[in-house]
Amino acid sequence: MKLKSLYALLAFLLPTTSRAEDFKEALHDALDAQATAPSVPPTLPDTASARAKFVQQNIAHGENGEKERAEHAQKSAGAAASHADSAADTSAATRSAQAAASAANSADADSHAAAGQARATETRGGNVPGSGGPGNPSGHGHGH
Amino acid sequence: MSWALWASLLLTSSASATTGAEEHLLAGARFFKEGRFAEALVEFRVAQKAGSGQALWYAGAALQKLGRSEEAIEAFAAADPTGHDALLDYYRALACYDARLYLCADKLLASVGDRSGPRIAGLVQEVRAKIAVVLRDGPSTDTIDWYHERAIEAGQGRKLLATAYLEEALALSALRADHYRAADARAALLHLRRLGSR
Repeated sequence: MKLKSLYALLAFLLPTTSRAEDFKEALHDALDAQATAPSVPPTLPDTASARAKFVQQNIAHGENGEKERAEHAQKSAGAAASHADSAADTSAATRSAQAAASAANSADADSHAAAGQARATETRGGNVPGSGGPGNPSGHGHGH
Repeated sequence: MSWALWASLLLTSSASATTGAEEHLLAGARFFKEGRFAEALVEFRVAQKAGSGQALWYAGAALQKLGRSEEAIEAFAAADPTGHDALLDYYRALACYDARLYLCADKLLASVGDRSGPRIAGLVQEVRAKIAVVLRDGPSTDTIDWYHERAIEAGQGRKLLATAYLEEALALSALRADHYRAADARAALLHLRRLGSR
């Protein structure tokens, strides 16, 4: 009786093992088929080029430029202060980390909501709720 | 009822529970192979929700192919560390590369080596050679500042990404004789880790 049960268990497990191997192979094949080298050469970034990009974005963003400029100035001031203090006093770094962490905490709820929305958007094939279909590209629902 | 019957029932139920997730993973793999990365990502996300421990690794690979490198880095960092292989590490390295985390990329590429066959080994060598050239002269203080700035920006709710940028900043500092801002990076990393353990 026990032997029969053991055979039954083996009969059940063997196809599962083979299926698992096929499954693993299919996933591996897919990744292997699309593995390529990066097309862009590496370049080390620097804050100067980041600032240049920021100015460019400001021009492009028009009315949002002022707000972004203010935000950037605030960030740069914070970074500069932290930088100036860092050699002698690591507590500045700690404060900077605390500020970042505190901002991270307060933004957690938003990021979760955004992630949920993004997932929902992905399942809808990229359409944002209320964005309407091809007949309503403006995304303003009722057309007021 | 005998133990074998109980075991069979248990295995049957667990097998059927994973089948749904596996189907979505396979569907994702098919899309991925065809270069339809957005569709693949949706399937991997569904597989993840259905309980697949590996799905997040594949979602990371799809995000990398979609050019969403920072999200890919977060997905890889959040994924189960036991559920991956050398090929997935290659995609993770590319996500680091795309986000300009070159030391992160190089470390992962070194671990991939020739574990994924000669073709991937060739790609690994090619990418590592490019990284070696760009790091030959060492990072400037401006470069290290850039990583700190990115970490602060990412700190707005993206702790895993902030950690990746700070780790890069710290590793780059080690390439300089003056260890520029290494203490900053260490302190910020420590703080993020404490925050994560709460």
